[in-house]
Amino acid sequence: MMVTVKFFANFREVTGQAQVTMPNVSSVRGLLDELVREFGQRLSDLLYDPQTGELRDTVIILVNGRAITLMEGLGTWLEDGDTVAIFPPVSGG
Amino acid sequence: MFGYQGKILHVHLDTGETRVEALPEEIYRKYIGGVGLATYLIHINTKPKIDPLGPENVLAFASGPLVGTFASMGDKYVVVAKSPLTGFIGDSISSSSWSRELKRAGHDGLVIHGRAENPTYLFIDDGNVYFKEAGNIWGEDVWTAEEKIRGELEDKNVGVISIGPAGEKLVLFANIMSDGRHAGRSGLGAVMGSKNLKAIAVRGTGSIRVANLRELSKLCLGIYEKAQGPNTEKYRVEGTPTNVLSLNAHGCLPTRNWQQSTFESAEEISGAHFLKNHTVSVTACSSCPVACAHNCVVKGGPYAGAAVSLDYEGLYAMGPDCGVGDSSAIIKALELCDFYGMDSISAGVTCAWAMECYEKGLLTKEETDGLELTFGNHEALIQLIHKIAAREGIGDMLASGVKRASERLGRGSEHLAIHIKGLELPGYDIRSLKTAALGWAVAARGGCHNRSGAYEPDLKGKVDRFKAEKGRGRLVMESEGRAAVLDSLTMCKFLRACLTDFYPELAKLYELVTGFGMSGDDLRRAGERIINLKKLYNIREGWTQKDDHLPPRVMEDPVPDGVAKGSLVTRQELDLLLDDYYEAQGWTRDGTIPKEKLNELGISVGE
Repeated sequence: MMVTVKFFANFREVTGQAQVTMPNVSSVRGLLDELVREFGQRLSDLLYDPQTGELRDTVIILVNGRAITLMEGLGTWLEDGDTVAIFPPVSGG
Repeated sequence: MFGYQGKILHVHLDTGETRVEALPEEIYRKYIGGVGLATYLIHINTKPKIDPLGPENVLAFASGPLVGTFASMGDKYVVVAKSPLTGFIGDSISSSSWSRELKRAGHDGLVIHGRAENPTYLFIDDGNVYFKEAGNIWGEDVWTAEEKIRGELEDKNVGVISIGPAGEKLVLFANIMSDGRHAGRSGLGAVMGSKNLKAIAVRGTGSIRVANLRELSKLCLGIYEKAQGPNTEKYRVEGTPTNVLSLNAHGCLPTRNWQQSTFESAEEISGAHFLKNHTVSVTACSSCPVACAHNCVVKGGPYAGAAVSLDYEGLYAMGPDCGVGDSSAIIKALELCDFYGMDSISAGVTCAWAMECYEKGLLTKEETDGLELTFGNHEALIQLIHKIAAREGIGDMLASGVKRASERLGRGSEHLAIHIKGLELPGYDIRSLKTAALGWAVAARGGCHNRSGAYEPDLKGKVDRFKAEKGRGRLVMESEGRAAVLDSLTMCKFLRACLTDFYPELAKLYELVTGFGMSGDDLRRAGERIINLKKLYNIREGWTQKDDHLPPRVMEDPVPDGVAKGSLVTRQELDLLLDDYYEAQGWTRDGTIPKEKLNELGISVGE
């Protein structure tokens, strides 16, 4: 079981990585827990609102190009070979 | 009055006459300012079906009620006229201290009528208007023109807006520039050029009063504080070029004239790449608390010294859309657009169309004046930009924008033309953004990402972006209303995420500035009124439902790559979305505005 995670913009800056592979994670929540364990508090601050503990509005997570908000949110199941992309919202120009 | 000056200045270039019109309070309450006010001004100052480049067309400029006050958060002006590119309403917005100067000179708006006999620039010095000979700056780029005018007027702080050589040559996507910012879209620089008007300089020394400074300060400080927080971080750190990688990951980055939706060189033109290799400073527009302008310079190689304030849209148009993955070449191409005074989105998309035509054999090498117009050939792209600005050789055809160029060339090239209503599309592949596709199709000024934020529900995952369904009409309608309010108050859209409760908070801001009672619902209604006023102008100019269209490629050529592979918008889907939108607006099934709707909104122009 292996999942590819792609970081963009400020997430790339905080992790210092453009892409990592994570073994043995079965849900988006589990994946984020592992990522926070690996990359620390700064990543946690970027992902979660400290007051509510919920994922910030400024975080977009796609699994194979589909937003997790339209699936099971943080409970979205992951399968072997999935690609998870994490970035801030697109806007402006 | 508070927030407003209550007056509009009219200047007749043909007769040299000037007059000041006092507007009734009711007009300000109804149309707010900015785009609402300027749209009202073109409605009542032009006849239907005029030639956009004829002397009968007027250029209406307006500031918003917040401009020049503590609540400004980005001094902006709006310019509206009949667009030579689309034949419908052309409205464009730019940040500039010019808008503050105009208001301090005593005017909320300025209407330019007629055509000057010889190249002219105007100098509005508080209550006086001077017609100045512009022969010595005709042909100059905007930077030089601004500098020469400030030198001639012996005032380095005078506000100046001007057109470049492209506007003079009537390139139909020429823009108006000031302080390095652009009123970019719809070709209003060509309208200014058609009037022989090179520039407008303004010096204002009057004051702008606000109704409740103490309360206003408190409210604004809260917004200023949020403007330094996470909601605007992306604009401050990498700027809008950060969108390149995000859109690439979504499979929404239009590449090689929308033949692909991902770009293999995205990393080499990403926000991070520009920040590391090109950004020399990050600056703010006049009065802005965010600072998003990433000033990029080429430090070596054949384009050394080229410089531009980089935004995502121009980057998309000259980069992926033309198959160019060389960041230095993109900066050079964009610098040239600024030098000549052209909208870089329209210019890039039109060049990308020419490249595809060339690669497909629809344009011969003889017809491209010997240019090897293949995707990624940035040397050829740069030559092409020079030719467009000078209307030389193939550049003359391209200077009319992709719609007219494809109609002129024929040979099936219309299928490759990426425009809506004649306005070239910005950098979001709407084949997999179905809400945005509807927003783009119905936008009054044509293919545009700024007159609604209709991509937001798609890209934030609020809706299934691959699906067309009922309910999207209301989302687009509401998004258009919010954009109209921001464009009329003239507040930067990058600050929208800093508002806790959009309408009530902005209504409070408006009330504290102007002293006019305004509820959140009143303001929402004003936004709806302004959208209807713009649509009414288009109807008057001959709009029919077929003008709410999508480019053939979006409806017939599925996305071939990336996570959005297979996506397109079918005719059936577009019809469903349009029906839903017209119904949400309270319009007829064929998309016109019933009289009762106009009465309900209190719109009486055009009767």
